[in-house]
Amino acid sequence: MGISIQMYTLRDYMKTKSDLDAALARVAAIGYKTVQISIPPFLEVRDLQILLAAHGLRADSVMAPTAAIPEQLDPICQKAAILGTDTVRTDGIGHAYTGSADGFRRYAAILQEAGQKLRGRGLNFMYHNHAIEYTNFPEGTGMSILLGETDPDCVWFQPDVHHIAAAGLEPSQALLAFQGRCAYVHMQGYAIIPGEGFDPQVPRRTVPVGEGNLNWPGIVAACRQIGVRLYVVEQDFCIGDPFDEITQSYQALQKLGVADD
Amino acid sequence: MSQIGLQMYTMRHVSGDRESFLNTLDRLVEIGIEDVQISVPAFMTCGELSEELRQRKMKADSVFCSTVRILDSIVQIRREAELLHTDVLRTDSIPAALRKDAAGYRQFASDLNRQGEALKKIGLAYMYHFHAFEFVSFGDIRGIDILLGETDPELVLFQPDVFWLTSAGTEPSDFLWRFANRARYMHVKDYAIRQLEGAIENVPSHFAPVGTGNLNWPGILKTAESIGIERFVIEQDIVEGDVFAAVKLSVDNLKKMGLS
Repeated sequence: MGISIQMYTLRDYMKTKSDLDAALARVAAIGYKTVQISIPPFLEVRDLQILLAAHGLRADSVMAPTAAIPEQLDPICQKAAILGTDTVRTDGIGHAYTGSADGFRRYAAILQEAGQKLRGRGLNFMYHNHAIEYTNFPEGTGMSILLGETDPDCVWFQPDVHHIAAAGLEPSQALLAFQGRCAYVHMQGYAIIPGEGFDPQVPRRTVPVGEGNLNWPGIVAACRQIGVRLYVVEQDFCIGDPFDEITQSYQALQKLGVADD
Repeated sequence: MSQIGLQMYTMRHVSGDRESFLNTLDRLVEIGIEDVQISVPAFMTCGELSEELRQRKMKADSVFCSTVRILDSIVQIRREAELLHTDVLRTDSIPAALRKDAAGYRQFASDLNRQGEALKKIGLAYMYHFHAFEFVSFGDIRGIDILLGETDPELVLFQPDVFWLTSAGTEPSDFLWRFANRARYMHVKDYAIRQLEGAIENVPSHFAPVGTGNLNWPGILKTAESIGIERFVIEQDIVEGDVFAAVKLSVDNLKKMGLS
């Protein structure tokens, strides 16, 4: 079991190589051993790997846009090998596919093709979902289509507990649908801020793990049940110092019984 | 008595005058609604409302009074409860001025206790209906924790709402346990999302008929039964399309889930 940090959380602190170097040093000092990072435009993958290694960090996956995967198998495999990972993660579904059940079916076929090709190269493939996949159609949610129409061996998921809650589901229950095909999960809290009157759009915000109103013990129990190996801290927006908030999340995960081996 | 009720706020756009209100009651009877959560309309006396409900074999599940008026309105409240044949008084939300900090919630909890005590003396149960803003955190405590912790279970009941519990980020099937023996009625409506342009994270929630959104209904109903909920009151704050069709869909789906 382990804990990782999606570096998007620190996007404002890694715009140059020296900033990234400093941010990684602080991440490692907090205790993180693993990061989820996209190759920055100012670095070659080899240089990124050297930088990570210098801080005792490793990448938990390599990022590849879904549409490009079938034509770019070789470069993706090379990047994964350099970063020392066996997992490919991808970007979100585009609006072109989210408007109908049929759109989700078409996207499921695209995921399936990408996942199958990567499986052929010995790589795991995971799709990162938010709330939009839980749009309701008469046939069910978009998520039920993606889950039902892709092969559990080829297409895995990296769900996000904040966004599951934002879609109206109970994360500790909804996670069970990912049984056996969810090695990584994104962890961020869900809190609300005072709104006006009774508007259903209660302003919600992302907060560190352990804070806010999510059912943390239930979520961690569900993650264990479905086979999660890596708890990836990702906080879309931080109110305070992001390094303080990711420290808080790291410590909260440990308190919840998630070991970082 | 049915396990399914309706908060008439849902019907406000088809109940603006006496004629449309009575027509709405007739149509609700056809849908199968017998128990309504209703405030006395401005165009009617409480006695007239009682008579119109009686003629349709309908029943009001409670009377309404604003928190700030309760202590000065005991005589009127008692009379309305007698006319409507109910032993429950429901109230409005914590005043905005008291929502800002923990001290405000403590003040409000103490007010609820005093009001509940006065109502108990005239044989009425007192029920507070919360929304989502009670789940804002003040350091390590939330408004709802203060209200639950500092009101007397003998004097103050709650009417939980599964949509707002979800909006707040809690899991209703889990959080409802906090209301064990402190809730008789519960508000039900579903929570669905819609897509907007821009970032794919941009998916606001909206109210939907029961069974058409993303709430964990099997889990919710299981906990509700365990904590002693007697009535599931449909309240859909905003309805797109025909409000009667939306209410009927909620009723039908609740029945499919095993309620009678």
